[in-house]
Amino acid sequence: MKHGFLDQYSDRDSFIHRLDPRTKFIISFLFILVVALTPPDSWLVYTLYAALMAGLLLAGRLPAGYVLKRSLIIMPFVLLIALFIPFFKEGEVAGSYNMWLWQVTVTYSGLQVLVNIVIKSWLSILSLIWLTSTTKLPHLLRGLEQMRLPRVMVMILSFMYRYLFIVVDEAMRMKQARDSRNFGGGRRWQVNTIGNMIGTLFIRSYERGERVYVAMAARGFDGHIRTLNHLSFRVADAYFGIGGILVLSLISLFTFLF
Amino acid sequence: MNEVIKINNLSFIYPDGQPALSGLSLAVGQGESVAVIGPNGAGKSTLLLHLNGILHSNGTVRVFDRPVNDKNLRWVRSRVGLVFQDPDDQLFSPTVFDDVAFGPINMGYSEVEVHRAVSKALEWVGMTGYEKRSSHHLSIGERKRIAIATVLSMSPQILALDEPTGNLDPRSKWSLISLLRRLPMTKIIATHDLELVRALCSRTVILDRGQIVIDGATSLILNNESLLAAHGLAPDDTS
Repeated sequence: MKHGFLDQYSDRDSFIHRLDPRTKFIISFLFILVVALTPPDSWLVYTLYAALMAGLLLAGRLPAGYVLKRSLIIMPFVLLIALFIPFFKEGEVAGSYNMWLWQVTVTYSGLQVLVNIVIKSWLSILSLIWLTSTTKLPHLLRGLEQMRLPRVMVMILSFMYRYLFIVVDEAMRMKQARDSRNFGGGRRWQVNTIGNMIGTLFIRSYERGERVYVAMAARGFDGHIRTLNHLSFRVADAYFGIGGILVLSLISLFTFLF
Repeated sequence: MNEVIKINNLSFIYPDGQPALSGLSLAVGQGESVAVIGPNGAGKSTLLLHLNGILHSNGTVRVFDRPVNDKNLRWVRSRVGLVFQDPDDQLFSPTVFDDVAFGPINMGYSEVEVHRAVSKALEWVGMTGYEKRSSHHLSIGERKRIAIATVLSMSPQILALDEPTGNLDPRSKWSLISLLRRLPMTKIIATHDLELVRALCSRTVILDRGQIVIDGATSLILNNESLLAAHGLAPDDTS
């Protein structure tokens, strides 16, 4: 069975794709940092960040529809956390409603915080989409490793990348096997089967983990993770890195000017 | 003949109390191709896991006349290449290169040597140019070949293969068999694919319930229908 890649579009070719993963990682990390530190009412600054991100995404030749669709993934999480803020934040009242027994009030400052959280998280996720869609995951992992991320974590991430699809395949096969024997049945019974499937999947993954470890041990793995390092910065990385940092600091300076 | 593997009175019981091998002795000479056949659960895989020290038990396993113990594990693992049944267990890295390079890197090869070993191993299995591919997107036949390359890159002198032709369609199976025939190493193949045994191994060992039932020439053993039937390797006439 085939699935979409985690790092879809990362095999395209563009100026952005050819950059060193570390350069892209640093720029997207800085981007998230300056976005997070932007004061709540600097709408101009937000616009500039959004324009910058749009430029980066265009330069990476990523389809707008794909980027927008993926960026919506975090919205449920953000809204779940932030939706109640307008009701609890104190300040000038924007509206007041009676809901059954309670009097509910919405404040302007609360709404502002909500909008800010949504904008900030959206810009941040765009920057991560930009990073992962223009960098092959193995390269990104190698970059992280050279940036001194502990090797155990790099290894865990690479196992995830390798085995995620296999576990999904296994789950889909189990689902097909269940559906081919499933003739209705009550809701309660169906929930039970799903529970059993999750349990089976867990045990199978655990056993696979043991077999993978044996395969590693058979090739001389003794707990020390050794790797070859291949990455090297190029001139383009220097230009892009310095340019990116300059633009980001320029935009964040606007915060103080307006 | 020069003995490369000598197993003397090997017994093994799994932690859950299930006996897997009992009093097994076997000697394999340099350059031999030995098939270990037997029904499911006969202890074939357990036997292979002893060859490079993944499992230890009482009794002795000697490789090139050195005992397999904790002190020379690294050495043994560079001599005996173990290829597992499911290539998805053996190929755990993001790219083919990383997988084939895993053994050599652990053996402490230099970067140049690692690259040389990887391209040579991929050439052996006819998969040159697949370095940057991700194993998930390869066919099962291709993954089996890469799995063999991951141990060839450590230039082992003994290859221990567990069900090398399992799950393969006939075309991939025969191309894998001709690949294995070209490899000059000593081979120990655990399988119940009798076509593979006939094509590749001159000597056959039948293993059942952890014990060696018979050890002899492939042509004699595979033509003895009643013997095969008694150990679940041929249709049983009495049923």
